[in-house]
Amino acid sequence: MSDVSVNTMTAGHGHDASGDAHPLGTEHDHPKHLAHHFDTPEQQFTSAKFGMWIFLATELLMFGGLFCAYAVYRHNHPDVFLYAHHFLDKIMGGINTVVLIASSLTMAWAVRASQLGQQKLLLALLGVTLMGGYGFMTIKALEYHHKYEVNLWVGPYNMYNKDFKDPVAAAGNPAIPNLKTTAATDASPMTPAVAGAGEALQSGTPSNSNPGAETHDLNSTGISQATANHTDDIKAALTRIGPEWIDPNAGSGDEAQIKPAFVQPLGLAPKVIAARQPMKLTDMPKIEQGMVNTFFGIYFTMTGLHGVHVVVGMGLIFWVMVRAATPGQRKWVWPAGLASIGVYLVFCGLLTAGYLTGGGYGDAHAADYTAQTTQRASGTNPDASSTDLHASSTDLRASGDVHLSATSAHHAGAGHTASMSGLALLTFGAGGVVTVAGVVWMLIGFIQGRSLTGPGEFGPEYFTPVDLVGLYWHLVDLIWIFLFPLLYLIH
Amino acid sequence: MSAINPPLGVPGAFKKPATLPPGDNYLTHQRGILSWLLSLDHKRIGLMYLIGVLGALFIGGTFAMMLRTELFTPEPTFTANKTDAWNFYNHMFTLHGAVMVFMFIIPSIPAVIGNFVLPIMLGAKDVAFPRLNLLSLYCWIFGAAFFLYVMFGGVLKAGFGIALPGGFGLDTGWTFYTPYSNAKSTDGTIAALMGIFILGFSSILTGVNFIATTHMLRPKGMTWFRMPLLVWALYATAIIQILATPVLAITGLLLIAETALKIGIFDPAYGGDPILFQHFFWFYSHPAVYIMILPGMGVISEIISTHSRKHIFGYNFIAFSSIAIALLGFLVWGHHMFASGQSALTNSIFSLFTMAVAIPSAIKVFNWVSTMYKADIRFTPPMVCAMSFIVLFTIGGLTGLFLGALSTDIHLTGTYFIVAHFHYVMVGSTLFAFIGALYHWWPKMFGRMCNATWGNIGAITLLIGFNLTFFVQFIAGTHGMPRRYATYEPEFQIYHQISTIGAYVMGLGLFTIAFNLLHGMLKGRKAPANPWGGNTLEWHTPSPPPHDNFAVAPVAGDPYELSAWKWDESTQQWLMDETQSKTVSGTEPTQKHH
Repeated sequence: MSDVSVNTMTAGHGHDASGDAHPLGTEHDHPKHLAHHFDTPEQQFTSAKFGMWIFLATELLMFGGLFCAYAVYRHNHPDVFLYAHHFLDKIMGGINTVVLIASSLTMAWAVRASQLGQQKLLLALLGVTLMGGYGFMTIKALEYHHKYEVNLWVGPYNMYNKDFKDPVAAAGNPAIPNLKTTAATDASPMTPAVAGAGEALQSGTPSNSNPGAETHDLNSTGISQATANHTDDIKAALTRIGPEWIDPNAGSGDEAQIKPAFVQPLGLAPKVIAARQPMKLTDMPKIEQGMVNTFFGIYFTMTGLHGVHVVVGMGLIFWVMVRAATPGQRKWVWPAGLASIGVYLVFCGLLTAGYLTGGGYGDAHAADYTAQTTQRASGTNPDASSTDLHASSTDLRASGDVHLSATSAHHAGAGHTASMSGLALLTFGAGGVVTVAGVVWMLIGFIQGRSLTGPGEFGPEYFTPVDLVGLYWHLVDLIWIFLFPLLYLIH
Repeated sequence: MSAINPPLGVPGAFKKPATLPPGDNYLTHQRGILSWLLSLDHKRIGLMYLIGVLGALFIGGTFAMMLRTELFTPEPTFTANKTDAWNFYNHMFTLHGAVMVFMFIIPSIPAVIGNFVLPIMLGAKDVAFPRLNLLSLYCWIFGAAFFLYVMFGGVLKAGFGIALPGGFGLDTGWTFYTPYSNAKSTDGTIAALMGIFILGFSSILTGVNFIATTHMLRPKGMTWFRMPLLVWALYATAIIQILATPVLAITGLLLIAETALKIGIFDPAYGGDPILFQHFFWFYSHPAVYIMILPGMGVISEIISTHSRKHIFGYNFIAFSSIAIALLGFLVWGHHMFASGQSALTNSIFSLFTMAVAIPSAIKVFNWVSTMYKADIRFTPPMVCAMSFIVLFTIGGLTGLFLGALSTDIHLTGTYFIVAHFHYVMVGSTLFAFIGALYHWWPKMFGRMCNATWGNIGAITLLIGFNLTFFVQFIAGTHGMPRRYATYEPEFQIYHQISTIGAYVMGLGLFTIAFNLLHGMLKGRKAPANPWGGNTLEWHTPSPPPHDNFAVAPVAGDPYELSAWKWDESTQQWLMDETQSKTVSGTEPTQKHH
């Protein structure tokens, strides 16, 4: 070993930055993207992909812990899951599944485009994938907000929690009527029952013993009795045309939920029909009732952690977009990303303030809903307010618009209207400013960027980041594909 | 040394030792604080980890001394008021355990020795993902700072009435058992768990890096079964790190979610299951025990072979036993929960798997001893540490069988017996392996030799102090002294006093070692490229190595074929006799295109 070779070798450090110095003083080609400690681009690509798979394994293990917790609780308390999952919105969850699968497709296509050097297509497909992420997060926000509005939010804001406190009432807006003063004229089917559940859990006494028994009689016979008769009729009718089953997801009562069996449950027929009778809170043992809260704990932890992964994935997609763009395109890709965050914040601000979920529609809408539900209730039961939690959720579902109806009912009780305050105002304002800034900047960028030429960073020679981000995005998709049936589609 | 060394061969046959122009190595390659803080060089990152890890050892050790001081008498020592003293004690032992486990032992050998040595042993220029490596260091620093702030807050408040903003402290023990950590917690649980979460990320990133490096960056000639055993051990460790640590992360997140939001995962008051926490926690933390011990075993394999001047005995068995320990380690978590109300069947299965772990562990010990049998053993500081390791690990392992057996465990669980057992494994074994590794690779890290006499004195003092501290705890434990108590019945006083004196002796030994290492680094004589005559690739490059590790891409041979290395008395170093080097690794000028 000569001193000369040592010198050239050590001088090689930092050639990533300087670009020309080269270790060992050899003459062969050293691509720009090849790090100094790899021999060939193939070795670098394989290492990167291998490392990504290992990382994805750690992600799976982390979610595996959650799935394990889920399995333990579902095994120990199947009733709780069967009961509580009715509060999740299958339609919203289903749409989100479709959105994520579609975005996975565009992501995979984007990887292909980068391999083929189709730069514009790559950028467009990454943009579409990012929009898929926004779509998912939008629906997620609607779902979470709805949970908040109907007191199924986390911790003490969940009516099944033993420390339950109505957040709206606490803020001086008694949206959920006081139990003692609620009269039968309060036609919202949701609120009294909800409050009753919280009260019953807190007091630890059967809800029937409360003074306002008729208002929050969890074990009501009203709707369930009436509809049970109706159900029998339909069952009798359906036996003529073949096997039938009752969709437990549909809740109790309503005739719309009795469907013919397009898919016969194999080998489970009679017993399953009995088991799948809609369940009421009070059908469960006391100890199980206290665990309904845990279902929501698991729901929010699983979907929340998944949501964090979606956001991280969106950040990564944007990062790849910037690198995929030509210098000219980067002039508007950056501000477009900023503007999209702004728009989402504006949406969140409006949502938090209630403008998107009922309050903003004013009392007319609420009154409309109230009339509708009153009619429904009185059609089946003379005591309009005597209902159970399950029936109320059924009503919401049956009304065809979960978010609007639930929250308008919620607000109708107190004459609550949407208003901007605190966090909502901050989110809305910041979002607005960011949006405007982003759009202005984007316009400037369009003009400036026209003169800039040059290639994007990815092509057939180098597409590792697109590939790896694609893998991550598929994992996020895959986790949701497991979460959706496990949480929303329980039978 | 010369008397026992083999005679020098024909002078002309010796290969020139690897050298560098004076002053040009990875330490001097770039200058300035930023060239360290933003370095992507695995060697510099390893050294920065070393500073942090030794800091953690100092903090954890200081609290160990304070615990032992408190236990010298059954009366309160640090404050007059009993309630305050016991509260203070709770915070101290939590801090001691958590700092030692999460900030010292887990990163000690993988992040310091592994980072420094693994790529060089593989003939690579760096780990596969240098930027992730730097990120893992910053995760460690950030997590550690966060964690320490929270914990110190509690100690200061309990002991001295000083309240730091946000420093709530932690008094749950390092295991975070519910309900101590949720219903009965001080407010520090959330912050401390976030610290653990971040530290866990650091561990995962290191694991990802080592696995990818081992797979992708091996040099010409290095098949899987020519990898040094330390690389096998670090590889097995990395598998555990990536598979187990995410479970700790989710456990921490669930506990945070529960404590912050009251959502009922582990707290029965909200519908949760406290035993589930123990399952989750030990699913990580038992494999984590092997994260702590496996790299130490790898280090010992290197040291024993090199300093016994003999090819390692049973290479394949040692390599596969590392993998077997890593896999079996995932199946034994329930042995921490024998007394938690598990079914007898579950207990029996976990007990069986626990016994099974003894097999690969014993394979290692037998192979080390066989390597030393009739060998030319050199009593260098690394070798003294390695031999201490074998003795202490054997004691720790055998007492583990008492705890793995169901009937004796029911009697011994929660006593000082278990404290002594895991200290024999974690401290006796891992700490000795870590110190041995420092002595073994110190010349490579800093290019200077430590004083061997003082090194041996320090190691033997530590060994005596260690046994004095912990052996009596086995006896106290069998007599029923419960762990984690700040006070005790008078009949236990003699054990506690011997133990406390032993702890001070250990402290003395550690300081001797620290000064010896520091003195060596600053004033020691210049180290040759190969001061011990080892044949793994790091001894084929100058001490300290150049920035890119090797001037010419090395070719690997059998890493334990030591016969070609001869001691050269005139230059006080080991030289490779090229006439005998057919199976030996080398830096033949086969200009490997890179």
